[in-house]
Amino acid sequence: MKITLFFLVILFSISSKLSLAYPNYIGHGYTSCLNCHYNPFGNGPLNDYGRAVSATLISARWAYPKTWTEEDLAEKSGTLFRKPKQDWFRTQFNYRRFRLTRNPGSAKNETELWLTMQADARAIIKFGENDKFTSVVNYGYAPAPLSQVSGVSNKDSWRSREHYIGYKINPKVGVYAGLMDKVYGVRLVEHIAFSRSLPQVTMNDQAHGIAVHYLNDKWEGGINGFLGNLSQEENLRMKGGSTMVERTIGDIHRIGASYMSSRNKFYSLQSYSMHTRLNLKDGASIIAEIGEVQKDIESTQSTIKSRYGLLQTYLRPARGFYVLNNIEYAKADTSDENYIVRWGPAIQIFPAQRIELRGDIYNTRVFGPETSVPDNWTLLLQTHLWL
Amino acid sequence: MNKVFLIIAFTLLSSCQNFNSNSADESRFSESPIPASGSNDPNDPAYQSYVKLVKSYNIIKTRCFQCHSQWQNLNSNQKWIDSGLVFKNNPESSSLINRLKNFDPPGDMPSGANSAIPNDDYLTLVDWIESMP
Ligand code: HEC
Repeated sequence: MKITLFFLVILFSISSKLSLAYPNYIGHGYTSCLNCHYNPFGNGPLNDYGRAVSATLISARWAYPKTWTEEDLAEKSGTLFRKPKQDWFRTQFNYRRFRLTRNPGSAKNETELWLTMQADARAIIKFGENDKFTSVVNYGYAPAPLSQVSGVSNKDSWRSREHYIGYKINPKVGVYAGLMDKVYGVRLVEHIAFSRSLPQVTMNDQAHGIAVHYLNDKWEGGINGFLGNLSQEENLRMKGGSTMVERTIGDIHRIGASYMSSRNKFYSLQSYSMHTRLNLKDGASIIAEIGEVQKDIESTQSTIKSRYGLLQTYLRPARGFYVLNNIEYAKADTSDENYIVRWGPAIQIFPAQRIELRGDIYNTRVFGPETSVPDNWTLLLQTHLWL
Repeated sequence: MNKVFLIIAFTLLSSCQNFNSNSADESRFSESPIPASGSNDPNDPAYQSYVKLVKSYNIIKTRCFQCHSQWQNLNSNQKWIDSGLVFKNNPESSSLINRLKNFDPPGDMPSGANSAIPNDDYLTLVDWIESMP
């Protein structure tokens, strides 16, 4: 019933012709991540074209002299503001810092927390026409998890986020091997999204494996076989496979579906989802995903099913300026009546190349027959810089 | 080409994994030494007390077992009481509590350079002993 409703909302949004980088850059006509990212499924370092797009289409230009053309801006989009002198080696730095305020404005319960979310150094080696051969290394900082779970280290750490080698067999097919994000669903930047955490595809869930990417006029998709993160203890590694397929509709929109099956010593996980990314023109977009995750637990011989939904709308009132709204739904256990709704608006500003400022408000609320948990507000301010 | 090999070698060396979605799987999903409770109705006092025992056991497992491995067998409230470490409904007299650095006056556990256990964990332990049926 809820799923039907969800799709009605989406259908309504299409039919009423509302108009839609990061996955929302479909609103600029970029249906595929491949255009701008070395990893064809998105995330990680930007390629030269992606850096130029970020300089000329995404970021505002009021900080630059009027006389500068878009080409001038694109020229300056390389690391350290210059055009690389050679073709085969690139470096990038990526940094995000958060200020997280819980219960803002409450005299009693307000708490504030600063954390460095990401500090990544990336190196890319590439050869051949259209970056036929690429090798990407992404090494970075991971802050201690906020919710302390027993048995888990609560220290910050430095880790390899990705390292892989890619080879484009032909313009349609590429093969990638190494440590990568698992191919599944919409690779949102909001790593706390239920659509990322429930299927276990968050910013820390990369796995060693092989991925094949395919792209033609209408279809894009991938298959990923993985062995878990080999630097993690053997019994915890999730081994399995996943696939994601997207189809372009009406030339500018995408609909897609994903499936993932994996297991470690303690349980097996099956996960499937459907998603859509709609281009509402002029940088505006809608992203929606619904999915279900099933965990079959070895020790208790029991099964837990969870369900999630996500609806994000992006509007772009001016270049460099996005207004978004995020609604999420999660039911951790479908046999239980409780469910969580998290929603809130955000603004995202790219005042100049290499700078993103973002503010999110999240309201999280648990609904259920017997819950008396008051709803909870969070303000998240974020600075994102890259070189 | 040498540079390529350097970089590839670097990537292989540099991976060290601290946590991800699966880091806690073992403590969450491995066979629990505590016998399952008959019910899983959140309103059932027997179930509530079972949950408190499991939570406390897991805290002690993480914070204390590395030195106090003999406690691993204490998988019921009665066994904790029989061990003399816990006085039912009386956390202040229980050495499991009053030896902790969190206690007032502070004790010396976990011993050595270890810091006091997180306050939430401490409160969970206190509540477990206080409300023991
Ligand atoms: C680094 C090792 C270490 C850790 C970790 C540790 N202890 Fe101890 N503990 C000891 C040693 C050694 C003794 C024995 C010496 C003594 O009694 O002072 C001891 C003794 C005790 C005693 C008295 C023993 C008895 O049988 O009467 C209690 C109670 C105790 N610890 C509680 C704890 C609790 C609770 C924790 C976890 C929060 C903990 N300890 C963690 C090393 C440790």
